[in-house]
Amino acid sequence: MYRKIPFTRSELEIIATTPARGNHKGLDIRNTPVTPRENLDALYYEKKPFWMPWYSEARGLGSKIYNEKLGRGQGQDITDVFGIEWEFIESAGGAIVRPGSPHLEDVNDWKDVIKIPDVSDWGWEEEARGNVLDPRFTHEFTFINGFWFERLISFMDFMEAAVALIDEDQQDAIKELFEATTEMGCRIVDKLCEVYPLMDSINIHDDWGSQAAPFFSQEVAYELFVPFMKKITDYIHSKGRIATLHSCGHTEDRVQAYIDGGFDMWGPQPMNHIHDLYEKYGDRIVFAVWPDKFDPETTSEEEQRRLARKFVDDFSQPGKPVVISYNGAFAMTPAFCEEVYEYSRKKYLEING
Amino acid sequence: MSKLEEIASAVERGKAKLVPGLVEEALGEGIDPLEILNKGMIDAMSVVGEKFKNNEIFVPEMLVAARAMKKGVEVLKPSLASVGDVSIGKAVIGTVQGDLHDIGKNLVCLMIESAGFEVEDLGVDVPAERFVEAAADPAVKIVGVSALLTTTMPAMKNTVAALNAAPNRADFKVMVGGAPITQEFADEIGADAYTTDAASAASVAKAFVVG
Repeated sequence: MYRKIPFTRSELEIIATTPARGNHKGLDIRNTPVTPRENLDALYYEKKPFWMPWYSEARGLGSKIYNEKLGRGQGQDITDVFGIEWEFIESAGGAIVRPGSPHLEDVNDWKDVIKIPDVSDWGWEEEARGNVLDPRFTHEFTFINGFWFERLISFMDFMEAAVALIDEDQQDAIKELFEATTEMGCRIVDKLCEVYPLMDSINIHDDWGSQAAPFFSQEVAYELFVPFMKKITDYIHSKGRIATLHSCGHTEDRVQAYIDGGFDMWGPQPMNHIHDLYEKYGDRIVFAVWPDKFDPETTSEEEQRRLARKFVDDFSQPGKPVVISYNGAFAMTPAFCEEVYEYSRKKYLEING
Repeated sequence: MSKLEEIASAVERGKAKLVPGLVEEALGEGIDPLEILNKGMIDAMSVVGEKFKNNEIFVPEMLVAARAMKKGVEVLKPSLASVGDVSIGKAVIGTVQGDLHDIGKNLVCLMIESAGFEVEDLGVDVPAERFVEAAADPAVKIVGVSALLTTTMPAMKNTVAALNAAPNRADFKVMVGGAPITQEFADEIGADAYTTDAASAASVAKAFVVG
């Protein structure tokens, strides 16, 4: 955990490059005084990081099993464990359920249509044997589609799923269904913790908004989603792991629900006002933040370094640590990255002692 | 509260079970069916659209309001038949080829229908030729083209180009929308309008047709 280690110039030496993750290109790893994993532990558990880390300093823990059974496949059409057909769209690099023939039309019928699988014998052990984790890095497993709204949409199509949320005749059934899917999630957490002792973090997907606004009200969020989020994040925490959230859309008005749902980190999309969010909630949830936009091609090195220092100054208040989002991938130039590292390292020494 | 106000209130609150009965009562009281449609339902949906635009209500509330109106229109239809075609025009709406996203497109369909248009939903993954074929109907006043993915923006460009080359282009307006779309892009590809949300799309479509 955090301790005072004076900065030395030798830390700037690049000793490795991480694999690319998402739209983050490979990230240069420096001769840091503690490992990236120790830094993230200090960030999440003590709110005292040694430096401001990029999100891609945590490594993604890929799982063919999850993606084929409960995710969206890996570059191919699949039928998931619930019988939902996912169509891979080459140009988008992702899969979607073709709308028009919903599996479930009324949530009250879910028990006749949706069979919750026993996840224990899916071959996790064998898959884990082929996934050797590097103890220097945090490893994050991702639950694509999650267990709540995105899953309901895959069962019902968007419109019916949205209407069901405020249909008094379906709300109790939604709670029953989410209880079952959340319980399934907890059983997967069990298996993952068993086969990946070095896994530190679990990321759960549930998209809650369009580019303009949340899909549903705060009341619906608290009635139908937060209790189940809290159940699984409590469970993840009880296993000594971090729970992070992927939730797309302009949903900054739902941050309190994410916090009350127990998430340790949320990565907002750029249409959210990250500076305001950081000021208001940065002491209660870690945000994945990004710098103000600049063009790396036309911005001088000196200016990039100035922008890096400004970025660190903007997001380094005591007790309010952040990670740097995929949205900041444009800024991954050698000068910007080096300056963020050195300047944040020195700044956190001042702040954290 | 007048009967029309009761209908409007029930539509706004999405009370699909109440609206048909209220419409029947209004007809029984001799209220003009066109007035029931325009003041009781279409105006109510305009209020719903505004509230949606201002984040006072969200997608589910807007959907149930539109469905409640639909139930009322079903009851009203036989009475409206005697006054002729009451739609303000036909709109054909679809998501471009290669894109399976339907949320925005569906919301626009509902709001435009609720504004008084007859709507033909072309669905998702719609080739440019299909848009042009649908737009050939002389009743079509609005063609709505949706795309959610940056990767399907070229398909939107192709679709609008095909529509712009249609011999009856002067008879309809082309409206575009979707998460990655901007006014600049809409201008660049030659669309007549871009809107950011379904309620605005309905207002703009109506303004195109009725001025």
